[in-house]
Amino acid sequence: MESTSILLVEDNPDHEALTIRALKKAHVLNDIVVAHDGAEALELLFGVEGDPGRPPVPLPQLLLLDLKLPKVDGLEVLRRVRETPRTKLIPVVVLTSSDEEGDVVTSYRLGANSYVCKPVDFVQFMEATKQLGLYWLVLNEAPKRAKAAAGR
Amino acid sequence: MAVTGTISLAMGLLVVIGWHTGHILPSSNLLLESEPVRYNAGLCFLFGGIALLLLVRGQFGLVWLASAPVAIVGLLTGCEYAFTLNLGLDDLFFRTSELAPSIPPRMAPNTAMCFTLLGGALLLASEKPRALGNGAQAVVAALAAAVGLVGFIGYVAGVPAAYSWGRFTPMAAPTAAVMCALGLGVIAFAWRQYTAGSAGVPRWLPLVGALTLTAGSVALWQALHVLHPESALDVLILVMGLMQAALLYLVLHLLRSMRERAQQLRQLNTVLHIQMSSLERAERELQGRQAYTRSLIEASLDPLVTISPDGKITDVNAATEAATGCSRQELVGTDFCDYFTQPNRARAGYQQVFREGIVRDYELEIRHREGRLIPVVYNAATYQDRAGAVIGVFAAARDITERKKTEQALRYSEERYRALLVATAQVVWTTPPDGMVEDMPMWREYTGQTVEQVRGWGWLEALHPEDRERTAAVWSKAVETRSMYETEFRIRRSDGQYRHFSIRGVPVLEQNGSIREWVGTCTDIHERKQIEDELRRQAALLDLAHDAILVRDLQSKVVYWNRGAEETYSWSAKEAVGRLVHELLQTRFPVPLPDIEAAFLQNGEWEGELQHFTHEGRSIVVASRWSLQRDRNGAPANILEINRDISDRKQLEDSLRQRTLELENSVAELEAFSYSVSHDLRAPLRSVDGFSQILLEDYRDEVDAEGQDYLRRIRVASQNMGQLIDALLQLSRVMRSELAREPVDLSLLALSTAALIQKAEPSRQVRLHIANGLQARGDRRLLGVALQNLLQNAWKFTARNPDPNIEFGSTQKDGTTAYYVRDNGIGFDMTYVGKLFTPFQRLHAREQFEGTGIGLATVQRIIKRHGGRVWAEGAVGKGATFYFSLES
Repeated sequence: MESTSILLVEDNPDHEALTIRALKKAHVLNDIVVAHDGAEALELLFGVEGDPGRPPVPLPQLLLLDLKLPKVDGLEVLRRVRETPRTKLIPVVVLTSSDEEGDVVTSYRLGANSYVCKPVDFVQFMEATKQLGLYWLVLNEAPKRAKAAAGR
Repeated sequence: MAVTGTISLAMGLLVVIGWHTGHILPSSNLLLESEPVRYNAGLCFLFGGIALLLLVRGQFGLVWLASAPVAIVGLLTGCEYAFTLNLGLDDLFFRTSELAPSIPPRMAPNTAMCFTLLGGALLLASEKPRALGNGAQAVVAALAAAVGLVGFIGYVAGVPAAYSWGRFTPMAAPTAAVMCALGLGVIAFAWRQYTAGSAGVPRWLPLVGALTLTAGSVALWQALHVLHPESALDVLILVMGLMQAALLYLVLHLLRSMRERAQQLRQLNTVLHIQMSSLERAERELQGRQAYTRSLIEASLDPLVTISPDGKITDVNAATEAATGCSRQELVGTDFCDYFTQPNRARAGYQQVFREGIVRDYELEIRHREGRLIPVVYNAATYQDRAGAVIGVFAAARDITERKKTEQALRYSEERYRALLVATAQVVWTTPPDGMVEDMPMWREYTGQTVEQVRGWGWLEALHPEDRERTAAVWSKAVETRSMYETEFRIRRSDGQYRHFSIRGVPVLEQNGSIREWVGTCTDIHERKQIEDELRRQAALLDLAHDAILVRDLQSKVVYWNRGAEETYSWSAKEAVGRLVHELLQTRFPVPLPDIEAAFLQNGEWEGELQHFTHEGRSIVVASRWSLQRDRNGAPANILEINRDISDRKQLEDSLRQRTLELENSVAELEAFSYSVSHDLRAPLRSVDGFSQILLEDYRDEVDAEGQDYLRRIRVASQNMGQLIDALLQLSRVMRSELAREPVDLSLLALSTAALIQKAEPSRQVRLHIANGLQARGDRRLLGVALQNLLQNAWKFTARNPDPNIEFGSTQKDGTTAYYVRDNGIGFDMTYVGKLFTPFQRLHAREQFEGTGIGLATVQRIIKRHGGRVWAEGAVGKGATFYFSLES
């Protein structure tokens, strides 16, 4: 199933609102699906085993992933996504308030496509989000196989 | 005697045969007309002759057998006459009465008496000469002879009364003649016997002679008187009788003198006998003594020999035979000198004896026939005959082989001890029992003292002055208590050098316990003494060490134990030496002991930590180093072990490790905290800022200017907060990140950092002077952070200067390179310089100069982590200079 949705994994409702507003201001029209913790994100991506009523959602075009999450943290989600062939090629942008070197390195090692530290200054944040949307949703060409895989 | 015996025998045989043949008369009347000789008489003559012949031949045992019948026949016939019996004796063997009738028809009574007498005389004969026996024999025989003589003269003169007693049968003429002869034979025998037993004329001889002569002269007188009565013959007979009497006297006189002589002779004989016996005794004694002496000589173990003046051996004893291996026969007569290894010396020896009479302890060596040599010592003396002439030498040798052996053993022993003494001691000395020195040659030789100087107490002068008094005391005490003398002192050698000596002396005791002399040695111990001193000094040094230093042998037995060891283990050296070290200290090894020992023997040393237990049972940990000591030949000799008590250090290390662990835990916690801070503290700020911005954007029309100003203040505050959090995170990261040292071009780093700062504020014009080619080693990222903070500060505090100037360079301070960032900004009051580097301390109001107050703290942290130092100089209004060095 092909989808152009964005999966935003963000536990902080404020940040969720601010991020969505920033994306809208940047004229990103794609659906935005929100998961409020790591576990929910995994359920959306992989469905719930033994629960036919909750199948996996259509694969998103972009995964915006916070790192510090309740239940299952962002790095674990990233690891699972990259482990699973079906979700392996989804572009993942880590969007987090941590600028820890360790987090950056681990994220890239697990296969993150980008790492963005959320500035405290909202003006700067909006600017960053605008560029993110422009780059990943418009300029960036996702691999065919990803599309094929996503289309199934 | 033999003749008369034979006559009697022949007469007897003749009569017996005559009777048997019937020719009695012719045989009886051979010369004169008479009665026939009776058969019995013939038998008596036969036996009487046999008896006499037996006596003459010395066959005394059979005499009685032959003489008894004679006596019995005579006696029985006499009894017939005396008691007028007729026993028929004459007819017992032969019927004589028929052939020669007579009245009575028997042997004449005088004949019977004669036979009785003769038989008795013959019976009296005995083998031993006895005066009485022989005397009686002779007298009895003389009576018979006289009767026979009277009868025979009667026949010759024709006087029947002489041969016929009364009316009884007359004696036959042959009977009378033979009777006389037989009687004389018996007398002769008695004489012979008597003279054979004891010398001299028998006493009874005169009696016998007188008897015979009287009987003869009476018979002669009677016959003449009958034939020529009243003739001149009477006178002749009378004269003859007188002559006979004179003869008798003479005989008696002779007899007496003979008796006296005999007495004298007897006495002489007795004396002689006594002398003889004493001589015999003396001779026996002499013989006994000689035998005794000889046995003594023979029994002597010493070879004894007598030598003639010409040096020939005259006698030897058994010991000499044994010593030479030659028999007495071989030795006697040979040259004495031939039996010695030094014949000339032997000759000289016995010649000396002859010359001087005696020689003592003359040593020679006997050569045994089998080649064996026997060392002997000779004592020799001459011996003389009665006249005092020397007739030989008596030489006694003593085998001194054993003595020689003993002497040799003694000499060897002495030589051995002397050699030992000389080998070990430089000076050997002796003194009399009283300790007063007479002479000590070796001492003199060593010290150069003279005999006079050394005598008495003089030897003390050769001692070091400090040692004299003490030595004198010790020596006096030793002599007084007769105990061992043992001391040390310095002796002045002949070249003047004082050398340490060890002196020992002991009293040599006599068998009775008194002191014979003192013997002692002086041994040079100078080098040893010096080595000892050196060792003592070194040992003292070892004792200064706090470490336990011990030496043990290859069996782990302690041989040295310094004071440090005593202190460490509370075992004294005395207690520890000789013990097995691992046992004593209950050593616990980190790895099995055999492994350690194998490695140790291979490498010659070992290092490790051991657990030991002290005397009190306290457990301690020591850093132990073992080192194998080798002897001169390179063989392992002993083990030097140095143990340092590191129990305290161990405890410190333990507590440090604990602390480190705790710190690491807290650091980890801090990291987690920082992470939360960086993430969670910023999140609300973002909301605050975000929503404030949204209000400003979306509700600009509903919020007046004042409200918008507040919203802007909210945003500034939250952004400041965000910066503060960033700075804190940076500081915390500086504190915990690893330091990677690498060459860093500080000039380049400063340049790029300044460019960033300039870029953030392009409007400002600041003069930058950055020295070229400043190289350092350090963590590039951290040094970048430090330079950024310093340059940022300089940038910030020069904001009000119309001509801002920032300089980065280096200078030499206290021998190290110091880098500096200098500005001409507002400066600071040096009073508060200590607060500059404290976090959150600000010297300026936030309103004047924004900043977190953490920048310089971060710089200090970075520089300190590099081992360097950071300091500042400045004055208010005159700018500030921040220095840092990277290595102390």
